[in-house]
Amino acid sequence: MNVLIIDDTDYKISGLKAVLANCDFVTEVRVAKSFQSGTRALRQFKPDLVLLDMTLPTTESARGGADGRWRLFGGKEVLAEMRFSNIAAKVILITQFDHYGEHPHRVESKTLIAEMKRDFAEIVVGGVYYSNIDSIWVSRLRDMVIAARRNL
Amino acid sequence: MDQQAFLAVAAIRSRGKAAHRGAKYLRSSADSTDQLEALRQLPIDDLFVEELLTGRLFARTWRDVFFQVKAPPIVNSQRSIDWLMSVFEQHSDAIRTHVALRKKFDCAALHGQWDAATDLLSRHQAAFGQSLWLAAWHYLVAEETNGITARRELTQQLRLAECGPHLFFLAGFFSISADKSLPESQLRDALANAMRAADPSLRQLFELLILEDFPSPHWLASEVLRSAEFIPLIDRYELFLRLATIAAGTAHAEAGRLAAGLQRIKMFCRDSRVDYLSDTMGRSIFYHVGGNTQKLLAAWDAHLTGDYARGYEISRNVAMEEPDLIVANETMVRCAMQLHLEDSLDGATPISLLWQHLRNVLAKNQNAEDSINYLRRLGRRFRIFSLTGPLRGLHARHVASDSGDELLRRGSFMMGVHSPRNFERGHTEEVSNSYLARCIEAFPQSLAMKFLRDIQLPNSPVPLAEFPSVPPIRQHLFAGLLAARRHNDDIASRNLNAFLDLQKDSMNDPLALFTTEEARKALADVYRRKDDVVKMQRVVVEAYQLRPASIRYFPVGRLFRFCEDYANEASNHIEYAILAGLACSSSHETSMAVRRFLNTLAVDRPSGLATKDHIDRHLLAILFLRVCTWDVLDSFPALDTTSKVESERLALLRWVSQYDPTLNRVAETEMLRLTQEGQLRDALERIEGTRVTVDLPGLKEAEYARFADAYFRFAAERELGSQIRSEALGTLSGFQSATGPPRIARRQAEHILQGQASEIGTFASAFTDIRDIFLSSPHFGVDACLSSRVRHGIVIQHLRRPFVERRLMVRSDVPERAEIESYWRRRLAVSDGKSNFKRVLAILFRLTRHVEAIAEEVKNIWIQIATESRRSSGLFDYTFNERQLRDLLDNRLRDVVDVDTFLDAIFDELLARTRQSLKTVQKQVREELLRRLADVLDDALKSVESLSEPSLLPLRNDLVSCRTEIERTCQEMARWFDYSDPTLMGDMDFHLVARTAVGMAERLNPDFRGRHRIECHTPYRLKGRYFTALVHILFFLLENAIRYSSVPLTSYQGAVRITSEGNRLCLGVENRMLSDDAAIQAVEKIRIQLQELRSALDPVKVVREGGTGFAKIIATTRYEFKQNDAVIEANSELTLVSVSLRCQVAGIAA
Repeated sequence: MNVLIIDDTDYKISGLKAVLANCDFVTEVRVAKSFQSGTRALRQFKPDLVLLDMTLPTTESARGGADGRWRLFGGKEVLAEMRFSNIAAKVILITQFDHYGEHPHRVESKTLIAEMKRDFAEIVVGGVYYSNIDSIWVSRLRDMVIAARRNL
Repeated sequence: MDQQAFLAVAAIRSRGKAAHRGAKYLRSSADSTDQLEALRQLPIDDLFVEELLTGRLFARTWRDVFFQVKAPPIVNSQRSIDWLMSVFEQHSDAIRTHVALRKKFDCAALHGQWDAATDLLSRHQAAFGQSLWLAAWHYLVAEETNGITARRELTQQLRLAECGPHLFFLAGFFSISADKSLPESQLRDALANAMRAADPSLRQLFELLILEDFPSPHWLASEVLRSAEFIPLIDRYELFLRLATIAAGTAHAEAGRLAAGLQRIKMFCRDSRVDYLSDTMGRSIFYHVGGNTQKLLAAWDAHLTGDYARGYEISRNVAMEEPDLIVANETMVRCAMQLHLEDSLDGATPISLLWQHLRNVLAKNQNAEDSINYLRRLGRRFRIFSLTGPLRGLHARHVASDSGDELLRRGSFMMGVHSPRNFERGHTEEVSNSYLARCIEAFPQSLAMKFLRDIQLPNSPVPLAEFPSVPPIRQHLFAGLLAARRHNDDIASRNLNAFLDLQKDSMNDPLALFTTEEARKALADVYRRKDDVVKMQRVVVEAYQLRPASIRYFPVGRLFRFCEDYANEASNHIEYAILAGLACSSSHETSMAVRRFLNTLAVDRPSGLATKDHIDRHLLAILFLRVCTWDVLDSFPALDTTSKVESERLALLRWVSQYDPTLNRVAETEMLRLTQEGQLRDALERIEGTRVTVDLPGLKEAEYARFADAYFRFAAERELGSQIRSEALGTLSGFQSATGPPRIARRQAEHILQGQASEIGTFASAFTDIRDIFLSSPHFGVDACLSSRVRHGIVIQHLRRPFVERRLMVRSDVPERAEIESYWRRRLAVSDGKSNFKRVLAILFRLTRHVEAIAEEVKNIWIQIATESRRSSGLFDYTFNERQLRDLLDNRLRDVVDVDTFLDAIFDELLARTRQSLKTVQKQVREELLRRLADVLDDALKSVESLSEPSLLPLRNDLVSCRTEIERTCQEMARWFDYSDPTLMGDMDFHLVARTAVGMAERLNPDFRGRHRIECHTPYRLKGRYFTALVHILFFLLENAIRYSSVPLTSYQGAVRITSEGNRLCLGVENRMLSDDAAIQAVEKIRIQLQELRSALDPVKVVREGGTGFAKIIATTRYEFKQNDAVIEANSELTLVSVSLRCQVAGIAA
């Protein structure tokens, strides 16, 4: 199974890669750190599974850092792009925040994930809360990756 | 009176135990005759009677205005209405007097006759005592005559009068509501926040009193009227009228009961508003047929048939007499516009302003949007029954809002006078027709009524033969609009298109834009219902083309969703992409819609459309300019870098500027802005990426004498050493040929070796001198560079920034603590005394200590130079051991015979060491610094989670986002240490210099973003190679201003000013201090410092940490600009401090 990680945070990427390394059915893992490189990789790499962050920079600069505006719901936009381009990979949303935005535009992560699962039911498998200080998310992600593989 | 009522009265009179039961009977069970008789028999101003039965009807003092009663509640709505009507009837004289005074007052207020209005308020007070009605109008009169100061005085008076908390609360909102500029939404938000925790019934009452509206449809008349017993008779009466209209407008279950109540009181209260409301809520024949209704119908007839002079005359007379009648005002304004009598609308009185804003709205001119909002505010401020509701309805008609129909319905019940179109909008066909039929019955002479009835009859041939005096264009418009409302879509589209065709030839009509928009809005709905998506989107875009602001008038979101349902068909047309731009709140959604359209033409970016000749050029210009904005373009797969997006946007703007004369100015303005932003981005990138540079030519030039001295010392000692060596060798060979003792030969050999040792010592001494100059030269040295571009006010701020932005940095001993503490209290919804909050603060204190310690270490240890003499742990390591020096000497310098070659070789070595150090620093920043900051944050995160408190989630969120942000912070910081040569930039204007300096200062101090002004008046352009130096000069001055101004953040304002006069250039920074004294002291301090520096610039001071950076500014002007007569001045004027540098233009700019 080919996996694409779309996330701009290095420590999170390392954590996700470590989990995928323990899944022997994962053959290749690629990383994209922005909305643009993510959607490009989706078209070119054609992954089976996408681990998708919610907030993303638009693109990356030549030096590799984030560039362009920040997209608070960049993950949602990636999902819309997948539908627009008929890309059928399964998606697991990875978030480390409890909510996005601030009052009165604050959206709880749970609500957002539920909304994504509803609006993109054909591709979104679920969401995982990533944490750097505990490892509950590890088993949850592994279970979800296995479930996604079963549904391929 | 029946016996039970008689006993009830007696019980109340006796004030015994049965009084409560008696009151309950009278209020809830007695019939209206008995209620009236009982009220007649009981004393009205008796406290016991008031408390138990009626509430306080007439308030003698402000404190009495909100009077809590102990009367048994009436739970049945019908009973509570009956009781209230009985109370009204009992006091019918008072109500009639109030109605008469109110009518005069409304007229005086709208005509701006404030003395007369004030007099009427005094008369009202003398007649009825204090009331909410009076309080609200006092505030309005105060605002109109003396503004906010007068309103504050009024509030103060109420406070002194000890009016009680409820009235004080209401008065506060009456005051806010009277404000001329406060938007409606802010008032509603403020009230919602203030009433969040209030008792529901009290909240309902207050909402009705303040907003004259209910945000929620769930209310019961019994509950509202129960609360209304707390307020005086006059206020209950006014409240009842509003409650009845709200009920009628929302088809509330209790509307019928309220209408019946109105029927009862209209017989005695002589209130034209009650008459109209009662007529329109009921089903019987009209009662309100005389007076101004007749006159206005005549005005309507005249207007409909094009006799605008007569229409104007009649409607103006009515408007002057009853200025609160919107129908009169609107008819008058329409006629005045047709007659070009717009001067007659001029004036500064409220009614004149109402006319002028109505004119703007109807003309759809550039002020139309502001005017419609003004009118809505006017309706709120002037609490006049027949004005507030209709103006809210008018607002709803002109902006597409979800609550539009409801507001229109309510407005129609508040018009106060009959007219043919009162019930046209927001109501069902049945209601509208029923109203028209009753109108025709009551006013058989009215042509307008008959016309509007006949024009909507099915199969009517338009134009109607029986109405030859009504112009065909008007007939088609009305026929189309009315058919559209009835969903007779074929008739509607036929008539509306006929109207639009005719209208094309009469666009000079002052109301042409208005009627065209009305027609197109209706037509868009018709096409939507007919599933004709292509025509629908075309109609919307045509409306936008004619007047872009009109799009607020269309429900574009709903219309675009319809387009999405038929995307395959709709996306073949450019209108689809334009509509997406108008409708989508997310730029990404717009981007996908635009791409869908582009896909149909097989182009991958909008500029590809420029060659498609079949597309209308103006529509293309709209698409390029208005829809394909930066945020839309940056989602295109073909535009996957910032520079590609920028090029594409500029290409689109250039095309618009070239091909569309109507939009070229807007396009050019944006091109200029984009170019400037691009320049600023490049400039900031350049500053970020060239923090550590070694300007060797500058260094050589500035320090040549010292470098040459070091070389010549080395050369001389090398020469001397060589002579000594040959002498020694000669001596040795002489001894060797003789038979001298071997001890002497050994001594000679040692002497030769000493000579060799002294050669490396000589070189080491020269190398050390040159290296130290390379490192410590006052302006060009590496340390000066590290000090001024990294350490001075930069590195610590940079590392703190992610924490400061999220209010995570707080120390227990700083003034900002209170602000940050209250920020977190607010965000975490902490009430006082919660022990967890103390723990939260402790976590933040600890986090702050650690982050500050790390930042200090980076500044004071890492970003330092290490040499043999400094022995620091700095990562810029310039220590050389003997072997390294010997290698250098042996391999490159032994035979060097000139200064430059010698220097070049040593500089090569030092530059190589610089590059190596930069790599070390980068690695350290990316790995060690990131790890340490991350550990600190993880530690804080664990501590927060250990508190297991759901309310701390916002803090957790911010810690996590800070954890992500520090990765970027470290990456950005690592980029500072890319090695770069000081390459030349092109010449640039000084505005860019100022913007770059401000950009740097604001990046490092995020709280100060947008708080700087730039003024630049000079024809000169700066030479590119001085860009970095000059930006840093301004940056130092700005940093000082930010750091030492001591004013609260919210009042900080800084300015950068660059001017030139003759050959002198002046760069200055200004900011306000807390007080005049503080400004004088600051200036004195700066002057002393400058005096010290001016006498002898000590290179050590240049690289010394902290301070004000003035030494660095002097060093820059002296060494880089080569000007010794530059002047730094500090001055103050009241609280304003300005610090400026004056230098010569020559050399640095042209």
